[in-house]
Amino acid sequence: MPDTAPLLLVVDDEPGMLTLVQRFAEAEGFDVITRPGGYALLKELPELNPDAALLDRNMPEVGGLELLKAISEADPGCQVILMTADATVDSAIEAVKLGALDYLSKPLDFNRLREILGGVRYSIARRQRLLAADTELATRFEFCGMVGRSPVMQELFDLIRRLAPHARTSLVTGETGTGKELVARALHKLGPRKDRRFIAFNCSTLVETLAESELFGHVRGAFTGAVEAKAGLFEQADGGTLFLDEIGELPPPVQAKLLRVIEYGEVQRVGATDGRKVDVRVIAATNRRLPEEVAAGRFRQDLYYRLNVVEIQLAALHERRDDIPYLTAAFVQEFAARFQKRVNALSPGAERLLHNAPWTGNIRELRNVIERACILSDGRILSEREVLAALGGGARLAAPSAAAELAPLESNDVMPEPDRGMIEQALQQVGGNRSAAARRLGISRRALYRRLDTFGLR
Amino acid sequence: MTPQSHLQPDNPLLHQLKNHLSIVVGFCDLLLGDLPQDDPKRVDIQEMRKAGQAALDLLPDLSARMR
Repeated sequence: MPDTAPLLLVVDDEPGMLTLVQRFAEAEGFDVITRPGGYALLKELPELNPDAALLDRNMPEVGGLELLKAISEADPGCQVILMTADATVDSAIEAVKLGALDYLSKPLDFNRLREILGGVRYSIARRQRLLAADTELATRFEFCGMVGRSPVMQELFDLIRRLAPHARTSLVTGETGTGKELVARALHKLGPRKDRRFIAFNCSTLVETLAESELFGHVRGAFTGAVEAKAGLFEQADGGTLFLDEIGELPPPVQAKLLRVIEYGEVQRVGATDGRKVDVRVIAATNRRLPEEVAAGRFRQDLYYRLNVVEIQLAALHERRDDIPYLTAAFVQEFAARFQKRVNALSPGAERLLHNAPWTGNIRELRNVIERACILSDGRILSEREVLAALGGGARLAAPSAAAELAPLESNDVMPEPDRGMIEQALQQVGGNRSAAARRLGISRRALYRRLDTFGLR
Repeated sequence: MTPQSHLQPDNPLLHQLKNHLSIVVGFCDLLLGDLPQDDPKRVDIQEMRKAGQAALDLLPDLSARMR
């Protein structure tokens, strides 16, 4: 597969060296781009997205170490190797401290370079294989649009399979973003009504009077504006399934009517005197704790008992972190295809971030984060930089204590123009990383550089 | 002091010389890697490489004398 050849950036102010390394690296199966270095390269860097870089240490304008810093800032996943004519122990230590993978002296030992490039290629291929394997597993553990290999999910799928043919009413509970509607659709799809309609209705979207006519319909002249008779959702879903999301938000009078429909299979349009028979499977869902709502008098106890004959509880994503790699793989594949991106792997740092995020918005949040990260990504490997940006801010990267310290600076309000003290403080808090400092201050990196110039801090 | 530290940037000419010689030796290595074992040109290339390497080996001495 020609597209899987990793990309090596070679930078040296000596043209002969560029040709030499290019010839060698291409023979080793790399796509190679060569640059003579300088400020122009710094500007171009974000578009190049190399998988690895081989940099000369001593160059005019921009030295190899400075370039190394710029590359690791732009893409921490890029593996950087330095080469130099004057290799000393001290300079090697400095380079490795800055994150260099290796340090080669000139004339280049081609056997050593071959080993290093082989290692780079292997690690890239390994990341790609990992994601490919996770994608494959995700497909294998997919169930009606839900992905889950963890025991709780396997039990859930099993439960759905067993309930789908029989259950007339069911209650699906779980935090927001856990996939309650997917469960409802699965119950419909696997049941005897799969060829009939599935109608979803969010109970929190309408005011009381409208909710009533929406669900049960109305007769002509039932209220001001009711010029035509209208069938409610129950009649429209006759023979099929009606999914009532956020049932906890339903006003109590409507709850009473709903109970009647479920109990007797009969709807009464608003303003009508007689009822109509309907045969509808009702699946209700809520992220509230209904027993508490019942105790507080906000939810009818009889309706609750009628609904929870069959209750399906969905686990929060943080309770099944083992599934995150498979969900991630499935979403990466989905969005890479949709946005026509080359992304086919994740950096270890990105994986760690995704695994450890709190995921209060559960799978919906994970899906949104992957979508944003895929939009931001230009390379083959989704890096922690993109995931971090998609997660929204740098706080999660910092150690917990540091994050707490940084918290006061975080705010949704528009920040005042940062003064010298704020910039110095922000730079100090993020260890001198200018991109992170800019994020912290809520200004662009370009704006930060302008300010640094103004204050003479560069 | 490591032996290489004679070639610290205070000696830019030697640095450049070393870069150029590295390219000579490097291309010899590339060619030797490409050519089949029984190719008659190998001997010539090996001579070039030997000379380039010998010049590289002179650099520390040269550096010491230039001080």
